[in-house]
Amino acid sequence: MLAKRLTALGGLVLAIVLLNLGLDVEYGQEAYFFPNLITYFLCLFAVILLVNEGQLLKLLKSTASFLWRWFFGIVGEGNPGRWPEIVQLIPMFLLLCFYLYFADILGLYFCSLITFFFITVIYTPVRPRSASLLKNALISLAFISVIYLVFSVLLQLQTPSALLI
Amino acid sequence: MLEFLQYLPEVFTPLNFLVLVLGTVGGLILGATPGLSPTMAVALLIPFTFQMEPATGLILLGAAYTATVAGGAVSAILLSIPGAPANIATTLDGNPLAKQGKATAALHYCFIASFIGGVIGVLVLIFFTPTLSDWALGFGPSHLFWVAILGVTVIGSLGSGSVIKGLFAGFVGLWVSTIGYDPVLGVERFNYSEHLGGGINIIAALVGLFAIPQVLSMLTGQQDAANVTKFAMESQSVLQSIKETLIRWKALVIGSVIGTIIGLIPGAGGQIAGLVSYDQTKKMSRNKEKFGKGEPAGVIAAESANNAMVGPSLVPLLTLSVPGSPTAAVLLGGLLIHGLFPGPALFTENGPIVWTFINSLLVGQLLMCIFGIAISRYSRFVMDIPEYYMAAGITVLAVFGTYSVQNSFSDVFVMMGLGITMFFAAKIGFSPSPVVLGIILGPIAETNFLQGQIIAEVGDGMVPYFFGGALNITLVAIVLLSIFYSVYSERKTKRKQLEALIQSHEQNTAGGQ
Amino acid sequence: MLKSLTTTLLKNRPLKLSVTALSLSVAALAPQIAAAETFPDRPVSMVVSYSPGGATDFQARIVTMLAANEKYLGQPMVILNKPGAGGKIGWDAFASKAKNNGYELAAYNVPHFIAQSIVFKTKYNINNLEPVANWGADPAVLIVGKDSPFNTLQDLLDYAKDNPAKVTFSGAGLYVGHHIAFLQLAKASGLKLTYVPHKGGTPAMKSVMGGQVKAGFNNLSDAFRNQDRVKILAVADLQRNEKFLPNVPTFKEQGLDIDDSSVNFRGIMAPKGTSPEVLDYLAKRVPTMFEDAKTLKKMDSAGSPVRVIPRDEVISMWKEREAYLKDLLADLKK
Repeated sequence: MLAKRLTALGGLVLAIVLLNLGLDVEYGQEAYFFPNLITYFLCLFAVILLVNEGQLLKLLKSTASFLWRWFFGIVGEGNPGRWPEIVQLIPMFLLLCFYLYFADILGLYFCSLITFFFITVIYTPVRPRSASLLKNALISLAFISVIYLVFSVLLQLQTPSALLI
Repeated sequence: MLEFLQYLPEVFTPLNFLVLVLGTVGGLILGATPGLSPTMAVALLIPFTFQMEPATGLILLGAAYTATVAGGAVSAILLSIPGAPANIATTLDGNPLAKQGKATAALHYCFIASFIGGVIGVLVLIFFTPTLSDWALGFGPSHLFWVAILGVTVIGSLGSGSVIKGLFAGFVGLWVSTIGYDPVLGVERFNYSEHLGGGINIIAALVGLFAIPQVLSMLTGQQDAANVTKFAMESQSVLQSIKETLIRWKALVIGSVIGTIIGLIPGAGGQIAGLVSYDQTKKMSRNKEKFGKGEPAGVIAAESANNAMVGPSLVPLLTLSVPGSPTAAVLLGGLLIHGLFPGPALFTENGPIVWTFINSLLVGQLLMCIFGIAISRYSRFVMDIPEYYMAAGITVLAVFGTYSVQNSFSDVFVMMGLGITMFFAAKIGFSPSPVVLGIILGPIAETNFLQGQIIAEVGDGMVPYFFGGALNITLVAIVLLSIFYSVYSERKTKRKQLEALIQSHEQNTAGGQ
Repeated sequence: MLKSLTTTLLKNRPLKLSVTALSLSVAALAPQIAAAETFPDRPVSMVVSYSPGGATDFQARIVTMLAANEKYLGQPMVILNKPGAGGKIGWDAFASKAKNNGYELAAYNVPHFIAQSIVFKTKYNINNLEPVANWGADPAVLIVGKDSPFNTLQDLLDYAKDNPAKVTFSGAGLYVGHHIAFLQLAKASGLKLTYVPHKGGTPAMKSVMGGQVKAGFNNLSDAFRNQDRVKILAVADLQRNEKFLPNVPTFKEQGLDIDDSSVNFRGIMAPKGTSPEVLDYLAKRVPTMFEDAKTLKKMDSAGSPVRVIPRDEVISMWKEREAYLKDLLADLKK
């Protein structure tokens, strides 16, 4: 119930933020007619969600504690023995940042290779991880070779000129 | 009328047939790759046709078009990541089927339905081209606007669970589509970063919204025992699949008819054909509640529609040089490079080439079905790949697929941003399909509304322009019917649920006593 | 010695990694020498700001197909599509990121990019780009549907005089050739007319054929191909197009002062700062490549009007256009 109410409230906040963006423009007001029309609908839907899915009174009381718990992924019947989801995903997000940032500096294929390799290494459930390092490296290399064949040789995709390929 | 048969042997010359087979197999594989849409596959292949004979080059493009549309269903069913916008509806029932261990059957339904829809579409192209091309021309801004609104009414029924949540997500998609340059007034809107300047590319959004949440949830290993990759694969004989597909003839008919009609309308974007016919099939079905939980009719309707669209989308292209779908627009360039100018004269001046091309589409449908069914048997090997390899592979493919659409890293950033947002939104009950549909429909609705507005203001005024004429009235009637029916069936299910709840409550209290 | 070593190594793609450090230091020491004498020693890229299959794209592919020939560049030219926002995305990226070593070129469309640089906050304008050569010119033509009651330009203008603002014109978007031609027509005739921007030439053509708008401006080549569905009333150019439409008069012949400002010129350009040696080399060889019999034949069969213009003339053409468009668009903004 609480989650639903929060969702609806979040939706309302989003709609109001978007509407604000569309109303507060320097020039070309007429071009914002359509997006603003959409945001009015968004407000309407958010209000319906709110009315439909729960009373407002108990809301603020538990909001903070819920937000905290939700952020760390310990909502519902979560598995307490495991790391919270968001923590589990931190390496992945860091890898993605690395991937996107360096792709046009170091080269798309090279970064893909590194990313693929590290995803497989970090998220391998097998312990100890070192035993599967070589296997992971070989599979990464094979996968990127196929990608290279398909995109560079077969489809002649032009990647940005970078230090490596 | 039957002169097309005379050019049938042309398709079977060794070189042409080889190109057709390669194009079909390659198309299936490319289509199954998340991020490589039919439009892209055809665009990437056009430079290759440069060196070929015109007929051979067109066969390659046609085969790639046909096969990528069907191939997109493979990843839609196995991974819940549609290969192209046209396959979104396929994920809704195809993936639940796969989770129940019926992936082989789902793939069979999909290829058989694609074949039947595709053949119907090509037959429409062969026999009704002259009649229908004038009809397609009649679609003006007001009509296209109503077609887009019809698409919006579908949005609500796509949400997992609540209609309002579906609509909310859909309208967020519509809003997202307004980022970038205004199509009619040329004003730059909501451009807060240089990466948003080009607007939100549909393929980037599709890949991000479907593939990235999938990757992230694979890595958190949250899925329970019956998850995407660890289900058992039951095998099913092809004959059995054909039988089960044909039993659901209603879905096949609805899918093929709607796919054909939407394919004919220039500018409607065949991408919504699958979703609209899925929605109609669901509404007309007696057991609506099974849809979304692995109902074969859902897969059949969606796939017959998106392949039925291929042939008719070429009708306005070949006779008027007005493409009926984004892929057909790219094909136009392929035709011009070979000095083939679409128009009525095309069939008289370049008859042999055009008829060979159309025939190859027909034969291509058959090949696509055969190779598709052959591939489905091996899909279990895809399923055996450990999740962390799958996740890494999909991440890299998503980046490459998105980048290759227009050689742009901005699209890759947009893709990742939308994907990570969607991962969290999915946790609070929103699903990606309405968002993507909103992004597809936004520009169609807005452009046509504004163009219609300009025309109406100097003409007869808004009301007569948007509501006058038989075609407008028909479309408005369909839209209203669609809305009323949604509301009606929603209320009915609510009442049923309530009754069931009361009943169980009564039983509980009775049991308690 | 050092120079030849770098070139041989650079030609070898797999070796690129090991040479990076070396070539970096060499490049820092002698940037110009290596460029001028051996240019080009690897494939040259060309950004096209429109999607694959569009008119600009396929024409660019045809005119550059012979680049690998020793007579011309001796290296292939690779097309890179960067479509979006009517070409702004591709040109913005080109003007701000392209290296000025002669290996990164782009296709231009005049008047599109000049008009955009005047109206929008773009990163490009005629001062930070260097033309190489022009390959084609596609004039805008005035078209009406086959069933339209208008048979001449005069019919249309008479009707527009009695029905101010009621005549709707389709065209491929804002601030493109078609829009410029429309503005010129409105200005020259002094009438109130209505412009309906479309998403590209094909949808604009469809609206005319389907009767959704009363008239339209479109590319000569596209109108020529669709003559059984549309009537062509006038050409917005200085002279008639003798090859494709010898019977269609220009606006000037019909008493309206409309010049060739809306003609869609297509050509190749380089970023500012490209060394004069490289620019000279390209400006000398590229036009001969455009005029190769093979290229001309293919362009002809694709229905694309060719007009090869050397670099010097393109430079002055750009300047004239910018001055004129600034005037015309200033009127619009009032």
